[in-house]
Amino acid sequence: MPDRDWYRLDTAAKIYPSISQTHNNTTFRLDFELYEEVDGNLLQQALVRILPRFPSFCVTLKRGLFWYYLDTNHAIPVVKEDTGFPCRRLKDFVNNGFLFNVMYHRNNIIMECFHGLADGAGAIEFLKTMVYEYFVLKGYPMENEGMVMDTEERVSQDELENSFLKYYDNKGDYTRLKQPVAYHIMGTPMHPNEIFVTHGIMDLKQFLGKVKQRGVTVSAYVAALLIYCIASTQVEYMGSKNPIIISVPIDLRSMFPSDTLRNFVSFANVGMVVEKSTTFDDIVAVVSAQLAEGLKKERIHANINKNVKFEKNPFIRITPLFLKNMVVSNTYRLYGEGSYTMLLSNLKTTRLPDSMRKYIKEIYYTLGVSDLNPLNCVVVSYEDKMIITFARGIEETDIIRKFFLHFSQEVGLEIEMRGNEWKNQA
Amino acid sequence: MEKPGVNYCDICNVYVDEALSHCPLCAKKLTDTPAPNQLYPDVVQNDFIDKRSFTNDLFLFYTFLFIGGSILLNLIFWEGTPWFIVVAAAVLYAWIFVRVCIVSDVFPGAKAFAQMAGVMGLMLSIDYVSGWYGWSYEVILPFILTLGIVYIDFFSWIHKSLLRDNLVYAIIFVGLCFLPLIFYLTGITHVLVPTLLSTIAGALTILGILRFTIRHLSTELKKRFHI
Repeated sequence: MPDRDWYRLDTAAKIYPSISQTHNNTTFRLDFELYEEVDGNLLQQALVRILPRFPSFCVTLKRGLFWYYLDTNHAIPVVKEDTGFPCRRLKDFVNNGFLFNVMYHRNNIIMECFHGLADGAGAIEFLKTMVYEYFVLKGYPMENEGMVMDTEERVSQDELENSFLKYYDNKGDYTRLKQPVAYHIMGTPMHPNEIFVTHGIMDLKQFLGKVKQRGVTVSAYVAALLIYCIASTQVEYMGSKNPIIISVPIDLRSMFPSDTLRNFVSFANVGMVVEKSTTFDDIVAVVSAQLAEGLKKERIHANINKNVKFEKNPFIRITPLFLKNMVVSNTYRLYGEGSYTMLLSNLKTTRLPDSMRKYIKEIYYTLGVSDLNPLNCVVVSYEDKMIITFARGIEETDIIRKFFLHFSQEVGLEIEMRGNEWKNQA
Repeated sequence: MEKPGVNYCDICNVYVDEALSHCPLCAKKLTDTPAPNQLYPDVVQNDFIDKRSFTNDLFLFYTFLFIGGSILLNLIFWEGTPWFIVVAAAVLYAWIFVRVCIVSDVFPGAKAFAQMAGVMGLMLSIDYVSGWYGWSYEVILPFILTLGIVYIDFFSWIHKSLLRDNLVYAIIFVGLCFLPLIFYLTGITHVLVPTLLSTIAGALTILGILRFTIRHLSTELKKRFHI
């Protein structure tokens, strides 16, 4: 809930400022590719117009004595042309203190957002509204169809709430902190700001057809394939007793009704120890069952209880922030990042009104990487395309290659690759 | 296999955006003249060097060398005075001055605090090495605290940044300004004028905060001290 003109960080966001200072890139990137070149001036106007509708985005991060907090930012965020690598770290954001960057590059409208501010579902509402307003300013006929937030509408308190607190049950069961230590991908690390992105674009119908043949969900199929690819390409994994764990973020809004634009996600960790004799089919079966179990409401509720319990612990609350930063940063390495090998985000299909769809060619979603887990994967579908995006902070591409070869050579799907590379690559 | 806007990698059986000179999966070269990348800006490898960290490391190395050298020289040619303490304090002060006060973009309150701590450390070390007469904490400490609080008061007033950025530092400085008075009352120090100066500066700052920020003060304190 808002406290006048400032906000406490939501439960999930509490750790992000601490870990973003050191080893973890907590930025994600949303990109709407249009059919025409973007007008930066109009985009700036659109951004200024929609800002009052999104007070939870008009903030800057401040340090309190015990917790970080979000303070109202009365400045104006500046729309910039995109330069350099995607998913800049929070400390490299230069945008009048705002925790997001709106940028453009040729036909693309891009939003990079610090995860402490919002999750993908919240940020995409912001981006959709801004792009809608941009089209209105361009003079295109637009019809909202109830799929884009109305800038004239009053701000609802529900959009600003910390929904974790709403569904917290202090007497309910909660997940224990102990998690198995996962295997971590080895590779040649690049500079902290260097992130290379590889998008594989496939036909949605064909892709879903192949997944359905296995009788599992897209998340289960992709997670299983990732585990298989990691185990078979990482020489360091041979003989390892650590499981390969894929962490799958779950948008809780579908299970626990909420209109919040702030973070409201939980994670289901799936994975196993892969032996030499383990086949892809074995992995699919295990992962599918684990994911179904992880998506059970009681399991997720226990996860919410665990997170809020941690935040409400009196000892943690009165610990000064600088000590919290030290403890959280290291604890997160052990129990957070340490408990998974790779993140797999499956962003639900973005609903856009027909009047907008005809101007938007593709939607891309990318997650920043961390030192410990230098590779992650995002699955997004839009119109008739399925886009699978890998972001990597290491030089090696063999896991990504193995992954896409599965579709291009074994399954026989047509794939188009896009991404970034050094300009003067030899 | 011909498709507009893409090249084909026959090793991986994938189409590759013509903006990419190499296949992103196997690194096979696909074209010498890639098209402009529609999705991402160009990043030239040679331009991407972090020069700042190298400079930082170099100066850090010289700092340790200088301090280590002076300790060594002082011990080798020992004449009963540990003058290396002054050298070390001066070098560390220079570090604080450049790193915090010039290069860093921390709040002015933090810069003033670092500056005060650095100067005080240097003065204490000179006082100690020259016979420990106590002028550093009798006279210099109250003066530095007075200067610090006056600076933060004026800066906050001119930039209207007391509530926004400098409140916590102002409160810390106010607390410190009463230290000389406590020292005087407990008999640690005996010089009255500088003590009165810092006490008055602290008291005036409290009055200023109450007069100009009282309406917002409780919210600000709630923000910064919420648990």
